[in-house]
Formats: sequence, C-alpha cells, structure tokens
Amino acid sequence: MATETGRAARARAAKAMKGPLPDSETYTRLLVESVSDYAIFTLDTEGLVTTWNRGAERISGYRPGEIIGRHFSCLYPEDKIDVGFPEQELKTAATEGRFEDEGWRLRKDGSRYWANVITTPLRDPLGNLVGFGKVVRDLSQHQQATDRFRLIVESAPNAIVMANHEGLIVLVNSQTEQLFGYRRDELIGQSVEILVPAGVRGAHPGYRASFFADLKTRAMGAGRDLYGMHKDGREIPVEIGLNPLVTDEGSFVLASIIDITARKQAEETIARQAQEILEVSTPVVQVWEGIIAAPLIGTLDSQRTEQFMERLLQRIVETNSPVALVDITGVPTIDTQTGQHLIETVTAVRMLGAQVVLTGVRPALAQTLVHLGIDLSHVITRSSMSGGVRVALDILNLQVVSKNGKR
Amino acid sequence: MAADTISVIKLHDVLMVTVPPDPDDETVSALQERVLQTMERHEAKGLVLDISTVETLDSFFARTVVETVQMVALMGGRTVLAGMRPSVAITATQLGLTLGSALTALNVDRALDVLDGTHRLGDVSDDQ
Repeated sequence: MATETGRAARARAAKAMKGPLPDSETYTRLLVESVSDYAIFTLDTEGLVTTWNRGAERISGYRPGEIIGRHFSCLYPEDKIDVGFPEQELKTAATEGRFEDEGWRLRKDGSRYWANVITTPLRDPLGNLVGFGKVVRDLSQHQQATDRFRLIVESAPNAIVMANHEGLIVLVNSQTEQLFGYRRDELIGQSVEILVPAGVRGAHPGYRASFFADLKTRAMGAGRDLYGMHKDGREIPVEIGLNPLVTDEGSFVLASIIDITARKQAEETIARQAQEILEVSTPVVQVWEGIIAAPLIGTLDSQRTEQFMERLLQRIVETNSPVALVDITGVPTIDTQTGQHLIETVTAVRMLGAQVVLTGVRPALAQTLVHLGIDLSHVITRSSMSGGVRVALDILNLQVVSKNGKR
Repeated sequence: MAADTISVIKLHDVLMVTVPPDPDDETVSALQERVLQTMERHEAKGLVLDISTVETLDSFFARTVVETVQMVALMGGRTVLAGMRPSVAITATQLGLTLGSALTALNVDRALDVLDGTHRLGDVSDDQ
C-alpha cells in the first residue's frame, strides 16, 4: 500500500464527507462536548451557566436544557451557598487567575459527590473578563478509596499509627486509643515520640530517618525488646510492623502495633517451667552419708550441663558429701563440648574438696569419648553404678559387712 | 584495714587461716606474709585455708594461693583449701585457674582429717 501524503489524505476525507472539513475551533468544541470523564462548562460573569458538556451531564445529572441560564450555585450544597462560597470562587479565580478546590458538590437528585473543581477566568483578547471556565472531576471513587482505607484501619485488630515524613501522627485507630490511653485528638498532630518510652525517645528520630531513607516493609527493632509508653507512664511490651506508604501527598509510615504483654508472660512461665523440669529431671540424691548420686538422663546440651554442674556443686556443699556418683548410663551420646563441660564439672567438684566418680560408661560411649579425644584419665570411672558405690565406700574408708560377719 | 583482720591460728601442729569475704590485693599479700611468718615460728605440718566466706575469686588471689601452697610446701607443710563456694569453683574452672598442688576439702573439719591422714582422698593413681 502506498503511503499517502497529508494533503492526499485530507482530499480523500473531504470526498468521503458530505460537508466541509472541520477547522480547529470545531475540533475544540467537539472535544469539550464529547469528553465524559470531566465536566467542562462555562459561566458568564454573573455565574450563569452558558455551556454544558457531556461530562457535566454525567457527573451532575443535569441535561444542558435544564441548567443553561441558571446560576451555577445550584451545584453546591446548602452550607456552601450560605457562606457565599460560589461567589468567592469566581472572585478568587478572577484575581488569582485560577482557583482549585476539593469539596462536596450536589447532583440533580440531591446526592453529594466529592469533586475536584478548577475555575479559570475567561478573557477576551483585550483582557476583559467575559466569563469563567470550570473543569470538574468526580473524586467519589477516590473518596471511596479513602473511606475504605479509614474503615480498614479502624477495624484492624491491631493498634495502627500512621505518621508522616516529619514523624507527626496523622491517623490512629480506636485500638491505638485503647492501647496507649489517649483520645485520638490528643495524638493527631503530635510527634510520634509521644508513644515511645522516655529512655529511647532521643534515639527514635534517628531510627525514623533511617527508615525513610530505605523504605521497606519490615518489623521494627528486630531482635530487641520493644516497649510503648502508655499515657500514664507505664511501659507496654509491643511488637511493631512498619509499612511504608508513598502517596502523592508524601511519604508516610503505617505502624501496626501488637500488645505482647500476654505473650511475654507466657514466655516467662514457659521459661520457669522449663527450669523446673530441668531440676526435676536431674535429681541429685543422697545415697549414704557422704555419698550423693546424680543419674543423668537424655542428651546433654551445654545449658543443661552447666545447670547440672551448678546443682551438683550446691548439693555437695549442702549434704557435705565428698563423693558424687555421676551416672551417665542414660546419656546416649556426648559431643566434644559436653565432654569439656563434664571435665569442668569434675574439676570444679575437686576444688570444693569432693570427688566425682563417673559411672555407667557403656562401650559405645567409651568409644565416642576416646575418638573425640576427651581426656577423662584423671577421673575415676566405672561401667556401672554399683562399681561406683564400691569406690565411694573405699574413699570414705567404709566397709559393707554382712550381718553374720562376712564382708 | 582488712589486712589487720588476718589472724593465723595454731591448732596443735596445724595452722588455720580464715580468709575474709572480699579480700583486696593488699589483704591477700598480707595473708601470705602472716602464714609464712607463723610457719617459721611453729614449724606446722599443715595449713588449712578456710575460704568458705570468699565469694569472688580473681586471678591475683588464685595466684597468691598457689604461691603460698608452694612456699608452705618448701617449708615442710601441706595445704588444704577448705569450703570453697560452688560459684567460686565454677568461676575458677571456667577461667581455667588451677590450684596447683593444693588439696581441697569440703570444710575445715574434713580439712583437719586430711592433714591428719585419717581422711583418705581418692587418688586416681591408686584406684585405676
């Protein structure tokens, strides 16, 4: 297909059309009339509507015949008319050259919609004011989105605090009010540091700045215990998730705050119970005057071995027992670190003035100990508990004698 | 000054010293002095160092104790450390501090038994 020159194309179009080709003014008029996304209409200097496009009809419901010649204030809600707002719009547009407003407007059926309105003065070539142009955008969807956002924030189970780039609170929900004990009007506009414990307040702006420098959704203060401060001064343990929010109104941060007081208490209870279980599962019993026995059961990790050592030493002193039988029959494996801890225990016991007899060294364990190079050559060891008892009696210079006199 | 509170007691042929709770370096040094002086005067066969009130152990103290044990040995006596607290034992072990050739006993009573020879220590070399 051969490309046509512009002139040839116009000539062809002219032949196809029934009348003369539209000029640029006509195109402009067609544009204004046809656009349906925006209400574009004009007023005379008094404010009477002179033109009305398809968009205006769609947005406010008036057909051209119903509104042309009427004062444009019928498009405003009562409260705006009462304060003379429409007239003020025109006056400002005339002096400033432009006036932009966001606010409620009225449809023909009386319903309201949130609109963005730009008023422009229209002047003739000599500069005389001949009227006004208005471009109106229906922001209902935007408003709907904002309302929806506020609804979500309000109904969230966590306390939500939204702060702007400068750290001022712009939005909170009722969970925030409950958690921190403030009414929302006491928080909005305040610096977010009002919710931060006094001790951390100084460093907080720095943290905020680094967050805004690297906007990323993340948990706040990873690995640290976080606290918020109630209005009455009390500190509340919390967990905080941060969400950056970049809008055309600026950068914000959305903080989602959970009160973890209950969780912390549960953690403390668990820790306490774990400690109790530990004590229960490593009993140290007195077998005879001067002999205590501690059967170890299960795998020994560093923490458990350390705690065992403390308890053993304590019991040795309490019972005044020079011999401690430590039975490891129930210990399946030992690693190098545990082996070291055991040796430490033996040394510590010796420092007290007592002695460990390690019993229950089974073949498998014996192999492991040798292979790992754990040196227990300075420790008395026996393969069974009864063997250990024999040694203990020997150390204490005791002898078991049967009732009829035989040993 | 704490150094003045160090008194070395003679019980028959054994010397006994109670170390105060938180001995500073000066006290520890004074202790060593007193012990050696008393050893010379009485030619005791042994020394009991009662450390049952000592709560913390630093390396200076440990070192001085080890030295004292060696010095007493040179003068013909054996030393027994009595009544070490569990927390001190743990710290010493973790710091890798050793007590040299010092003997240990759970309390002063047993310490005297040790020096008497009536309390037999489980000597590893004998048993295995």
